[in-house]
Amino acid sequence: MGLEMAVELSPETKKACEEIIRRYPEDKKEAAILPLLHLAQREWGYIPLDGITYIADMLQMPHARAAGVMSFYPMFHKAPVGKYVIYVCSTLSCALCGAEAVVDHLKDKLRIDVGETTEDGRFTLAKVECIAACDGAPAILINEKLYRHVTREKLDEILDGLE
Amino acid sequence: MPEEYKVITKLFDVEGLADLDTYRAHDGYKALEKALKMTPDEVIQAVQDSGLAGRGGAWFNTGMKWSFMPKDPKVPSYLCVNCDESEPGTFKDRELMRRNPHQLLEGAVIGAYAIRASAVYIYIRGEMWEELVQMERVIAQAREAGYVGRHILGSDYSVEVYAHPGAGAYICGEETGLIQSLEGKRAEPRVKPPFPAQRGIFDCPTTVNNVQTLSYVPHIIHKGTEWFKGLGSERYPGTFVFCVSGHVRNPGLFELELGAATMREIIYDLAGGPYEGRALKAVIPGGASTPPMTPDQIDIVMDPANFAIPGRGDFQGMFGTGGMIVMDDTTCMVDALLNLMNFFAHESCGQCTPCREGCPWARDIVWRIEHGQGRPEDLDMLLEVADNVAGFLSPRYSTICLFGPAFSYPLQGFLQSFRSEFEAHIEQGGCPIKQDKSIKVPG
Amino acid sequence: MATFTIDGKEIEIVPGKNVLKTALDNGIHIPHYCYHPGLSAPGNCRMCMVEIEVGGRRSLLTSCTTMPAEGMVVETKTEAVARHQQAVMEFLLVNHPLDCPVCDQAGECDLQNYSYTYGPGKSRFAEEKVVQPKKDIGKHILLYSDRCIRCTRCIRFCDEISGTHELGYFNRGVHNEIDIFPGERLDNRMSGNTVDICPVGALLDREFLFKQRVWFLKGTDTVCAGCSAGCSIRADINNERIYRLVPRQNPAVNDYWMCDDGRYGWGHVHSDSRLLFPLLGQGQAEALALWEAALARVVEGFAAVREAHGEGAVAGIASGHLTNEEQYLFGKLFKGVLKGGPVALRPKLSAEGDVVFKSGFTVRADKTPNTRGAREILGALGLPVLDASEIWKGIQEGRIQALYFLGGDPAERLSETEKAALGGVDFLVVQDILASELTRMAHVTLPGAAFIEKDGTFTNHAGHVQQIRRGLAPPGDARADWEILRDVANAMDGGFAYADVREVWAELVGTVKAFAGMDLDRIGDRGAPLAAAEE
Repeated sequence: MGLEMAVELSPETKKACEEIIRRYPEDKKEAAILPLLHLAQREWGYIPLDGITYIADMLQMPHARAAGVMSFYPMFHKAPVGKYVIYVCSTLSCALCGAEAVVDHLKDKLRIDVGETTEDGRFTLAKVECIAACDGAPAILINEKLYRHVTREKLDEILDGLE
Repeated sequence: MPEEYKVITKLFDVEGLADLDTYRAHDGYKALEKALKMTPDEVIQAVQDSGLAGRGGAWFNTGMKWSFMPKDPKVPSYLCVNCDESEPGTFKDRELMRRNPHQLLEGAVIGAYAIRASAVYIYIRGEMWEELVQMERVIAQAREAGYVGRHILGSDYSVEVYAHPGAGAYICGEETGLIQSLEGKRAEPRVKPPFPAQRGIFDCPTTVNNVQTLSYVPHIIHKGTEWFKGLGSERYPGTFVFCVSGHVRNPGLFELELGAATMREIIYDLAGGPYEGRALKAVIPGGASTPPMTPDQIDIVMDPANFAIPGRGDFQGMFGTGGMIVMDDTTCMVDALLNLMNFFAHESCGQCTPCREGCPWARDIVWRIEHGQGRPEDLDMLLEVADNVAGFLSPRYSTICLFGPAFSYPLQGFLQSFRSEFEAHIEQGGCPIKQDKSIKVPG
Repeated sequence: MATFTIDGKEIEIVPGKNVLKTALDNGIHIPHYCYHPGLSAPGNCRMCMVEIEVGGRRSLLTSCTTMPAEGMVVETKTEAVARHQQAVMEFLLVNHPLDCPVCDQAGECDLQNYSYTYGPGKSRFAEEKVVQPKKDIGKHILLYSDRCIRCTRCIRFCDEISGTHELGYFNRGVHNEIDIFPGERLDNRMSGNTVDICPVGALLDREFLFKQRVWFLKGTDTVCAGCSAGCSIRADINNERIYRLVPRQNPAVNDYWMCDDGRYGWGHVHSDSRLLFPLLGQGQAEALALWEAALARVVEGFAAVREAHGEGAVAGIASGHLTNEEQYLFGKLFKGVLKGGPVALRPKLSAEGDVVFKSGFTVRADKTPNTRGAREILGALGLPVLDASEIWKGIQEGRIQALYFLGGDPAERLSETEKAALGGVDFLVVQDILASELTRMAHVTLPGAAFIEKDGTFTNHAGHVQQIRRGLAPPGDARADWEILRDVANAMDGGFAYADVREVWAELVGTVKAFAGMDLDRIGDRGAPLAAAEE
């Protein structure tokens, strides 16, 4: 399920990347690596090895350093993930309000374990740390969309409603 | 019944507040107009005199922090807005950014003006992508209206404002971790000195301010120093946006004057207290890095001055981020501590020895205790490991940044306040408490 | 004069020098891992924390990141410091494997040493260790990440010194792992230095792996003979075999580093092709001979050519591989005793030119250690060093009939021109260390010594003179080249009464103006510049 062709970004994304690079001093292009990795991941679905070198070269950054930076930040995926990544917050407030039950329900419903992707490639299940929505515990993110106060019923409704 | 006093959350329910026109209809950007007619030093003085202190947990006088920046920078100076809110139990910055983004932007531009910054980077954690997209729109609107960019409102002052995303690292909330991340590096906090005001991002003078702190700035400028000083307590003027979550009926944000209410009042009167038929067991007062408090301790008045640790001078860390996590009697404290230790073990940057090795080690011991594999010697060993990283009452703090104390203080606190529960786990070879892990939706 | 105190000792403040380096330079040892004087100071290991009182405040601070200030009081041996050091040692060993019995670093390991001096003496860790893989990351380098203590010296080396950036820091927290980018190996020409600076047995030298316990090695301080940079090195030897070469610190020459070419370029010393005995006869007719016979043949051969064709018919090929003392003896022999004609040098210049790294460290194009010595000394003795093409031309034109050819090249290779020329010579004497087509063409082959098998001095490209030292005996019946030259001269009644190479040095210094006033004691372990070089 990976990218078979040589890695490339669409013209629109490239343009956005160039605009972002200009937000930082000329000799400090490396500062743009996080925003660029986000944009690239939104287009490619994940960041393959070739993708890291592609971004690194754009920023005139050594490959090992770029890859090391990327690996520090869990939001970036080195391998393909589902169309929808479900991030279940598992830190204290959400844990107190039933995050484990949310994870269990999703494991049952999607028939995958944490860290895995459904066979049809639609969903990946992940646990994350506090996403700053504690008054909405238990809270989850599906890609970038936040859902608060999830219940079993609500989870079913949300997932069934996604394309 | 304590009363909320809304300053920065006042307009939260106004529809379309993220839109420039709506914001302007509510006195938006008047403070910026006024500030530009003052000199930068006058702005610093006003904020300093108001007594506004950093709301990210450091409680350092904001105006004084601004005064450390060069008055006549030879290289660009920068303002960084810390919206990497990742402290468990804290969610006020997200709401401030989401529901009143122009307020934050206005405060940031005023702050940038005061410190002679040539650019502002608003660092927003990657998980708040929608807020980041909204902030880009807000900045664009403001730029079009002349509040951002070259010669703001016709003045001599120019400043660029950019949003910059994080990507899932709590340590980016540490000011030098944030600076590292902004520079495109692993967010490994720096040894201080030098301090950011001397060498920050791109080796240039930098101030990092919290979202909540900057949100007050337009109000201070607009309504004046005396007005702000008249709110809150003498040492810590103003209001504070408290977060309450966990086992309460009405979790949420509550903006009150500092020193105006006790923790009990906030939890019971504003947040609805524990669920039906449940008793309060513990409260984490200010985010995961603060030691838990027991029910007999919650009559404390919510003012940072009351949370000082004896012998640790001005360190107000135990008030923390004001993110209260309430736990009722279905909570196993060992399990709760394990949850926090897992959090810290995931988030340690790994740079320095005591944190990198000590944090997972402590987590592993707590894991064993929770899963019935604890040994009698584990508790004292745990305390020693924590003390070796950062002693609660000793001056020892052996890590590069405050992450060391951040995980070792609550560890010591849990053991201190709930030692018998840990001992019971060890003696009984298992968790004696029936933990309720079902999904709870309040109400 | 601004001062501060360390353990009660008052010390002058040197601007820019941190507390740790100041302590070390004043004989006060503070244990440390991540700090290295040749690299930036990240302050991440926390081992060097000491009690520092400044401005009325007293706390534990990392001495490598703290600059001294007037009136600062530093105490390195208080109880708080000792407890902290124990704590750090305990933390470092939490996930470290008990590999000492199989780890190369044993005996020179900072983890072992500091554990012994500063550690708690027992382990309380009862959990599962986080294990990282053992990796093959470069032509010369292995990275056993399970032993890594994350000091990051290696990463900083590749970023700050070699400027090649092969190493990255991956993952987070206790899963932090140092690694290369897949497929981009640690193959820069300074890679071996990462093994030197690794305080533990994480970065390992493939050539040295499992070869020898370090406590059996005896170190000989000498100079690398791989190029004209003249890096100060130490040869670690046991049982008459080299096990490894490592750099010595020399601020005037190589800082803390050496290149891989030099570091791994000692194989020729123990090669099966080493010349062990004098040889008489060319090609198939080559036969072993005793020194007396060989020397006699040398005398006879040159004499015959001189008689038949005159003095100018005997030419010499000098060598940048030989020491200053040997240049001197050769010059004195050639001019005064052999009474030969022209002398040339065959430059061994690499086509790539000087290779300069980010820190300024340079691998020189001139692959001989003592070209400068050869030119200075032979010139001073009235033997201007010509281009080798002059000699080949002379042979072609019949003016040169005999050649005293000094070799010493670890990888001798003759060009077609050279082969043709040498073939046209009546009498060829070659003094060399390895058998090659050159030695097979010689009528007399004299077995010399490799750089590690003799005492003497080299002059590097910049005129810095350093001592080389004998760490092994030459194999078989090979001899130090200065001894051979002395013996050849004496076989010609030259009267070279040198019992020791220092006597040659003394005479050299007295005779060659460029070396006037030089003193072996002043040269010491790190050398001294020629007067001309200092200008």
